[in-house]
Amino acid sequence: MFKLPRPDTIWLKSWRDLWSQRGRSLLVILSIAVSTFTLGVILNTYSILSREMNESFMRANPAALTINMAEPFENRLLEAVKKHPEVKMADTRMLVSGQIQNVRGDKFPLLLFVIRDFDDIQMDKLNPGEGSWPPLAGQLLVEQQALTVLKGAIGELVQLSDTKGVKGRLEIVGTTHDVMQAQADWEKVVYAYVSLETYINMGGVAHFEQLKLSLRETNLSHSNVENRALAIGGWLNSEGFQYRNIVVPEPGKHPHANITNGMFMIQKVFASLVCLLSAVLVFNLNSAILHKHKIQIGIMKTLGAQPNDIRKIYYRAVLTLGVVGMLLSVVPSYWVAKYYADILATMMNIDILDYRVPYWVTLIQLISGLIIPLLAASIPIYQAAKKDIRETLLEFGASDLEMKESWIQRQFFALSILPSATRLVLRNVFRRKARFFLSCAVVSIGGAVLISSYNLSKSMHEVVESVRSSKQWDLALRFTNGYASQEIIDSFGGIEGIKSVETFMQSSAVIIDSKKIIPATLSLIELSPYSNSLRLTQLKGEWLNPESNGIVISQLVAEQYPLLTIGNTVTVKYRGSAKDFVLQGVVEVIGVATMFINASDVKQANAVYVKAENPEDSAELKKQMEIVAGQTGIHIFQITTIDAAVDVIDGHFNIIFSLMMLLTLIIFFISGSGIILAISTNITERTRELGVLRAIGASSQHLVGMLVTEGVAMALFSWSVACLLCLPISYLIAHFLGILLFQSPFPLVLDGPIFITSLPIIIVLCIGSAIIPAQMLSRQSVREALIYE
Amino acid sequence: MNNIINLQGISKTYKSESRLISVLKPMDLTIQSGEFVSIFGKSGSGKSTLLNIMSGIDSCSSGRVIVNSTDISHLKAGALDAWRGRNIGLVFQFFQLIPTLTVLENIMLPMDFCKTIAAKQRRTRARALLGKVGLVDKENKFPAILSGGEKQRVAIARSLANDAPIILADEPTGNLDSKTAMRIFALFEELNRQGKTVIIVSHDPCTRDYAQRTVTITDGEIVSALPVREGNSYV
Repeated sequence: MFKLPRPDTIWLKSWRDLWSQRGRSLLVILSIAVSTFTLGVILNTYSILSREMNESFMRANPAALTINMAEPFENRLLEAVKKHPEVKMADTRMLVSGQIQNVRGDKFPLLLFVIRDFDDIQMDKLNPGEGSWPPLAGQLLVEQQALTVLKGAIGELVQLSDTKGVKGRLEIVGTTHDVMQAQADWEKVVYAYVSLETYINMGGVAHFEQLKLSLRETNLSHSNVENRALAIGGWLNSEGFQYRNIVVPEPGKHPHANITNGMFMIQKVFASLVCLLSAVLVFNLNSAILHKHKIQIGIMKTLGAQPNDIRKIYYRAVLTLGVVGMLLSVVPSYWVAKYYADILATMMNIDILDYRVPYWVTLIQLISGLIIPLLAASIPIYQAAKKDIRETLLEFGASDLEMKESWIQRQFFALSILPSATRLVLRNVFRRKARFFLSCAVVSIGGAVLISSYNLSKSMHEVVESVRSSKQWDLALRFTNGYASQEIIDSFGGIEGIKSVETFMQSSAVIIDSKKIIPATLSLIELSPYSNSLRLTQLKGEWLNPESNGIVISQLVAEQYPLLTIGNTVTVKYRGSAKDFVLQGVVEVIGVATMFINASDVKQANAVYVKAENPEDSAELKKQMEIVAGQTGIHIFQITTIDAAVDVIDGHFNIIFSLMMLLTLIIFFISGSGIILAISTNITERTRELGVLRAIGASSQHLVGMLVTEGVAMALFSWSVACLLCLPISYLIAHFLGILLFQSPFPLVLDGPIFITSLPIIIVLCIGSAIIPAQMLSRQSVREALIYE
Repeated sequence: MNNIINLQGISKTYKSESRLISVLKPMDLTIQSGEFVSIFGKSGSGKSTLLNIMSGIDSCSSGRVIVNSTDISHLKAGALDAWRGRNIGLVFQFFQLIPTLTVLENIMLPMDFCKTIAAKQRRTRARALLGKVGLVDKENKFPAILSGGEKQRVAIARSLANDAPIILADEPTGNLDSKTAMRIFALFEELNRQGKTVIIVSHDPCTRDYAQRTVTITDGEIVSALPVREGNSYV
């Protein structure tokens, strides 16, 4: 029968040493487990998601470029483009906006995709979901997540109407997954898919305006694809087909890839911090064990142990802690990561087909769970192992050396106002300076992250409030077409409860710039220079002047055109023609890269800002406006209340804050373990000394009081450092997140109350850490305490 | 008999802030293989320092220390630890057993460190040594539950683990009652009879009853190093 080899006494000593300190060992194991678990969840999720996001995207065979033609085209153009030597594949689909009404009569914005042939989709492929595929005449598919927005179900009938006045009643026969679209729930838009036949049956006319192309070119760098796209655009022009614009996305990269990487970067930094903190715990535990084993090490050396044998004992102990920690964390971290990846995949509207993780994830977990603790333990282990046998056994004057005080400490303790017991407490706090500062560092980091999380929340709240205050309207309507401004004002201005109606024109535009091969599409808003509906923060220059031909750009546009300065001429192509403007200012707009020009000569508008007499009536006004729109033939694409517009941003921020709080709790757990470990070690190391104090008259209450005072002193020190440390942390997170989400840093806002409330939290943590070992000690008899080794 | 310990002109001084403290004045001492020597003196006389110098735990300020044909004054720390494990069995006043190892494991520990005994034989040897000190039934016990005398017997068994030719004991009975102390001395006597060189540092005059020679130290100087016993009578 197979027999396990018996471990040698060196292994046994390693394990029994841990067992003799089982409470503390357990804390360290849990810290290692929690840190490697956190790191594992984040890295596993990241590795699954980053791979699957791009693969899911690539499975849809995304078009290398999209050309939006100026006029609708027929099949003849598509066939001609397919034969172009640069083009590998060409496809087209119609996209119309409109409204969709569910069986309960609720209306939602609609983006309707008209597909030529569901069985021959070349690019931007759709994956069949539940129900039937393909939809037949009179049927439609809804994007799988959009079904929730619609509050509908397969088999239900819905009413559709589009910008061209095409209407129809169709049956939802199934769902599809369209990876190319953002999550419908976040956009609050319903994506639906019908065949060309269905659209024509509804009274629509086939008018394809969009060409989707993939290229034969193998070098798919962004600039190369842009050059190829421009060449094809030139060829189209030479063939007599005009295009509005060309869109070239980052080749092979999911549109959300950058933001996902950024979000994971923050999480990875937090997870690394957690690992670092748990390494500090390992350092502290080892320092404590090695200090206690000072004489044992000397004895072992007298028995023939060489420094390497001593190192072996303590390294094996750390290895054991690490292995147990890893065993507890590696597999669970993978399972939780799968769950987390599923949630994020839903948020990003991608499918995960493969949950395998690359070997480097496990390797990094191994490094964080085994190598980092071993490295952290190396300093005390090397110091202890190399110690001369005479130092460990004979200890000439060692105790005196330990209590050397700095000049500042001497002056401080010389103050006669301090009672002797308090002086003793404070001396004990600084007795092991390295351990004290490391323990305080752990708590300070935990405290700083806690305060920073609330500061960030405050910063994000400020951004939300700034968005709210920049929008001085209660309802915003977008129409499917342009209407005469006066007609819009006449239609809606008369509704009771509406204070003012301000029309504007919103369209897509590009800045003509010779340095940009293909300029990015921007949003252009033509509105009155006297507009009261927007109150944007002016970052540079001034707002639109009614007398001048000025343009004001948002900071997101300024970032794309960094050479633009106030007073420069900007050529903007919009609504089919190019026009020069003088740059007058830069304003802050959260979310979309936007430009503003005077609307003095615009008689048409496709959007409107509405101010209500009473903002609380917004929901009622929304219904009234829908009725009026129906009566006057104005097609509304979307009605947004200010609360809904702000809630979208707020909802995103709440997710970020929840994630931050989760990571903060994990860091706080490690910090808490660290302080429990440090204080309990400090106390048990002084068992004999505390026994002496009791022998000379100190009561158990005195001792507990002294130890609690020590905890408070550590808490005050840690809190002070945390308050300072949170400032750069808060600034960095706010700056990074702001740039990542809105290309504009969030302001650094300090949350006053959390600075105050974090103090009792840290004090309770430190006192709680002190009270358990203090009470255990107070239960010990004086004799036991005096003979403690 | 050959000289197993040869101390040539050794001295020991400590530096304390502003002054030098002389613990051992220059001295010579030779101990022959198989001798049972007692180093006797009052507390603070320098006898433990002398023992520590013999074992290499402490270094001398001047002179040479030749033990079992090795000049240990020139050995580096790591080599000295390994050499000590093979050549010297140490017994301490406070027993110094490893509290987290059982009695048997405590005895096996030096063998695991020095690897002088084949791994498979270590357990058997440890049991045999326990038998020698009469504690076979305690092999799986932890030191904490043993009496002082039992702990010291385990410590003696441990000192024999690597079959070192020299046993150095520093106040081995200092923490024991007189009856137990006698048993421990008897054990040392028995080991000496079996060929071990035994050197015991003590301020207990009883030590002289068992030793073949007593080296008396006063204020860091050897005042007497002659054989004091012939048969059972003192000269």
